[in-house]
Amino acid sequence: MAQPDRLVVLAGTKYGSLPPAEIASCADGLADLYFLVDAAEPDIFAVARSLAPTTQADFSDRDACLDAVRRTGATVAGTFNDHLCPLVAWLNARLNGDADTEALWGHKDVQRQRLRAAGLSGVMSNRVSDGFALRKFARQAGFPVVVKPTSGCGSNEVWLLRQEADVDAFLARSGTGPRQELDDVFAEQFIVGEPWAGPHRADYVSAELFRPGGGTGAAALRFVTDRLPSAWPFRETGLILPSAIAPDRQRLLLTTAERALDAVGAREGVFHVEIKTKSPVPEIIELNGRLGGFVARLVGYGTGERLGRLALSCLLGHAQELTLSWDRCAQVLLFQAPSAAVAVTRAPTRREVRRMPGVVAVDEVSPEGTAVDWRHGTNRAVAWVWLTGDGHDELHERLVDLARFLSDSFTFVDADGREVRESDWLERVSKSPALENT
Amino acid sequence: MTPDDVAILMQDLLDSDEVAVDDSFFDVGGTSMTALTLISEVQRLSGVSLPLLDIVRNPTPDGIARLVTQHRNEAAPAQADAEEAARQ
Repeated sequence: MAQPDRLVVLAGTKYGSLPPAEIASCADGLADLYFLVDAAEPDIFAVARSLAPTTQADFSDRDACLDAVRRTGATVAGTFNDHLCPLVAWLNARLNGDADTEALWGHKDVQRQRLRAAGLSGVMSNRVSDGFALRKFARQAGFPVVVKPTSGCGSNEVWLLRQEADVDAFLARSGTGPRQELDDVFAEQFIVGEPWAGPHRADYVSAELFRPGGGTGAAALRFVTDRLPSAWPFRETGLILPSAIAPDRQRLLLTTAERALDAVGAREGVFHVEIKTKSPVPEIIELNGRLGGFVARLVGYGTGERLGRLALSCLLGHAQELTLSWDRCAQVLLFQAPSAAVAVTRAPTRREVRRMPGVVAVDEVSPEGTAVDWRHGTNRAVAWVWLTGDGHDELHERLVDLARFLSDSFTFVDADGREVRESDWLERVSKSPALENT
Repeated sequence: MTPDDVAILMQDLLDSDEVAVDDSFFDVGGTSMTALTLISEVQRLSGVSLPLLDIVRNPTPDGIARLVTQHRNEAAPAQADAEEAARQ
């Protein structure tokens, strides 16, 4: 009788794309699951140990992690946390001889270099070691320029520099003089996109690709997820499934993502690729070696399918195809504070938010007094709300109602204590989808 | 323990004022971490310790109350056997 597969999932921080409880539930009957948890995360350890055999390790000590994984008898490691992808790639290369993709994950500068070398990107980019190098890059590439940590995630500390004054503000924030070193910072040209899913949507999308391996690179499942327009500068505000983009354009996006993954040697696993929608060729924003955040739950609300189970199956190398059949459209709204805000001064109750049409779940509603700061990125949204609709039109109507309600119900103050509001984002998402074809 | 009892527990835990007996704990703001607290509270009130994975699979007050009843029913014959053995 064949032994069941053994899989170790590395878990750290609460912002994984699949929570430990869902991982354990999805692994049931599929594999013997073990968790390896960062010793710096006692809360995650408490949860993981109540779900499956769990070991703690110092995640900065890679050899200790390898020993811990080997002690379980597992030959495959996986993760749903972005910052752990390099460690997991390093472990899998030593456990089962996988191609070592460690250098890719958490190194957006390396990704961009490889995409350029493969002829798949024309975007100028460079690591910038200090203020002088940043100004030089901006002069060569031209404004606007995006600056971000090479290993960042969730739009944390991602800056859009449109002019010299923005460079000054960025350097002041970093506490960096012209020749002082910047810590692990990467600059690239801002990519201008087109909102293919309609004027009320973002000029970028994401793609999920499940590649079980076997050398073919063929995906067991691949699909596009639409996005709501960002809040300044790059904070995400929502994901929508299924995509409303025309099928031929979706195929183009997926082919672009697959070519990028092939070019960097990422042929086996679950991948989340962010892409600017632009003609004639879409441009890759970044590649990630894990399932995208929010996506599994959206698929659950829209189809009843468990994407986490397919993800685990894929990590184990099993080619299990899945076709998604959508009963309804699903969306998560990440309602962001204005960029100038520093604190919430009034907030709706969770009950009020739950009563809005189409709302199926409310994860977070930040109470009065919560400190906010745009530089902390997407995950500091003040409300996380899930909603569904029978079709894209109904979902859009419900989103607009909800967004207006939240805009009226939340109030914020800036650093000087003055009430601050922003209407640009609300106006954008309130646009009629019908305008797309006019 | 009734579904309403579990719903009230959830409301207290999540500082929420409206949890229906068919609401999923994870859709009204519950997380794996707060589910551990819910498990402790259910054990304190009913004497039944539920595994976290059971809560994940049955996240509604209805489902959790059913689990508590099920565990009690399964435990009852074992308890009777133990008492019988002690008497002998």
